[in-house]
Amino acid sequence: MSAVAPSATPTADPLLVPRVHEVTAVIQEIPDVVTIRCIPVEGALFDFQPAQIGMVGAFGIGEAAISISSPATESSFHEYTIRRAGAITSALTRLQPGDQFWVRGPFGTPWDLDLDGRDILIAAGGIGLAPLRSAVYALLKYRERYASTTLVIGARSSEHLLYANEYETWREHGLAVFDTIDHPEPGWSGRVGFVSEVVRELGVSGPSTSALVCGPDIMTFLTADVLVAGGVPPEQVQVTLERNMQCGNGLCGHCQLGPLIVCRDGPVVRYPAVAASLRVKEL
Amino acid sequence: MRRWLEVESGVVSGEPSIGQPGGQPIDWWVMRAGDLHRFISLLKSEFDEVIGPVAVDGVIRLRPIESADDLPTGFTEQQETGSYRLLETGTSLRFSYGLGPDSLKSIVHPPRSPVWTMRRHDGTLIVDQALHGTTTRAVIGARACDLRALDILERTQTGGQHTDPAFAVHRQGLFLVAIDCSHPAPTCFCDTGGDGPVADHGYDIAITELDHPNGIVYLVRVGTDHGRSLIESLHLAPAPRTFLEHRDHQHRSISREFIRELPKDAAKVVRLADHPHWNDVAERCLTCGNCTAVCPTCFCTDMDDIVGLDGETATRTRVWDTCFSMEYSHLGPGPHRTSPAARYRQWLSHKLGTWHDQFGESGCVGCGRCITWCPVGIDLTAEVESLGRPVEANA
Repeated sequence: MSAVAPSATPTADPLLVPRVHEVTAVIQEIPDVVTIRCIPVEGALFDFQPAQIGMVGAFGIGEAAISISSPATESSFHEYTIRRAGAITSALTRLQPGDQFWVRGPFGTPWDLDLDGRDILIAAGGIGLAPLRSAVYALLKYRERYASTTLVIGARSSEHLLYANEYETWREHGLAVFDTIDHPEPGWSGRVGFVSEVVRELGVSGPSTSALVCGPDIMTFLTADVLVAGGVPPEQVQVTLERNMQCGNGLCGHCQLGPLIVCRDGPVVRYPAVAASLRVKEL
Repeated sequence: MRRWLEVESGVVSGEPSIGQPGGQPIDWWVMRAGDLHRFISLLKSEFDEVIGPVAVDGVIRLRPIESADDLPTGFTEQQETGSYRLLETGTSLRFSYGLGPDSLKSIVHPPRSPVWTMRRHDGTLIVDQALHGTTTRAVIGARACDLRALDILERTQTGGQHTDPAFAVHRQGLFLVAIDCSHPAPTCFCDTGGDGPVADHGYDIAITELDHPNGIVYLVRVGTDHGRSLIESLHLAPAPRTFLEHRDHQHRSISREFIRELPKDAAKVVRLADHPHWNDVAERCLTCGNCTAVCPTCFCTDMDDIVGLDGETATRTRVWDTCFSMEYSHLGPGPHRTSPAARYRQWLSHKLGTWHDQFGESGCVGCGRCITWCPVGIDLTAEVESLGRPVEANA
């Protein structure tokens, strides 16, 4: 069917339109990682749900997909926690209060937190805690809805534990926080070992557990396997995926992981959807 | 001799025709060379741009044309794995060639497309979104595989939750004149990889070039009301039944010409991620991305941000990308797919396998362009066949 009727230009998809934001504060988190706090230059903050992503852009350089790490209920600013890696994130982590950049979004599937009465286990590796931070705040806001809430956060070393200064507050609000580092180090009396191992040792998994997992691919599937072996229904394990998201609209093809287009079908998916794909090298 | 001359005047002596003037609507019309000139002039007056096949740069490309004189009269080509040669036929046939490297993709999803311009003034960012012109285009020469590819491409860019506005505008302004394939290349496999060589939907007007013993004629049918109104305004004669029988005969002989075939289990075997054959392909593949450039459904794009010399203006352009490049899979620490085997696997397993999961169909139409334009002659049908063999047999 053809229709040669060039009428009105279709309304621009809001996800394609950059919204200029201004940095209001920069928080140095851990080595190479900063959190940018920002507000839009015009109009109100856009609404989002935990784990949703913004395409965050640096003038003349490009955009990177960054999850919004501030609480979804925070109405006075958004925060993006960014690790310096390539040219784009290097430019973004150099931003200073007063600087402008842009955001497109939010896009992607959020965490399903409709988990009343269940034991919630959050497992995060390194900067993987960033897309989980807003989930932590959402869970703690309605803490009484859940039977228990536990966070296992792992990092290379103690200085790489993200948001470490917030753990105490989270504990006070009813989140059992277990932090662990990969290798022993002087002055560290806490746990040593990978997130998956700590999850196994804690014995926090069972049929009543629902898990939210984010970290490197290998950490994700090792942890998910421990959970499933411990009796957690595979469908009750939610994971977030990281691939090269560029458009955020499912149009550009970059963020494919096997059958999934991550920006469209994810970043949060149920473990069975990726259990096989995550194990294939370079998929 | 030259009995068809009578046809064009509408006097069909003794020939039963399909549809009667003044009675039921006509389904098939007949054109000759002069009518083709009139037809293209009509398109020129009706649309902002008329694009058609042109023999240029040693290949047949889709380019803007001024008149029927620009068509590749007397040209055909020879194609094989990694090879394309333009040849002269010594005939007056205009459409007796196989596919060139261009498909409708270049028109509806251009290689470069403006996205925005951003200006920085005293630290303030000002964004100007690019507007996509509403140019109307008639394209002559789309084959059945190109029409199917357009459908597939359209589903990737407008079929989901979000629509690419540039694609939507370009598609909306498109008027398609299909030409039935009379000359499939040896690299084609649309009978097993797609819908076959005859355009049966997706066009406004479709034309069969008939190499009739009495001379070359063009049989015309329409697919849309717009197509019908244009054709009716030319006052062509209805086509006699013998011409249609000749057309059937021509199509039947084409279907015997296909050498290659896409194995039926393609969607399954391309998902064998650990198959050793991926390494075998990788030893030949240059990861140049030619296959993705000529593929009529490969839709991947990248954003290119360029800063002006003043340092205060940045333009963003959407450009074709290829899953064969390292940057394509870039994540924080570096490329995710570094080995050529993983990149070839991504392309083929997506095209023939996971495309089904993402868009409900295969991403291949059997046009064979990737086979012709691969500089080292990698043949996707052969690779699929190898992937389908038991692993020991490949060793």
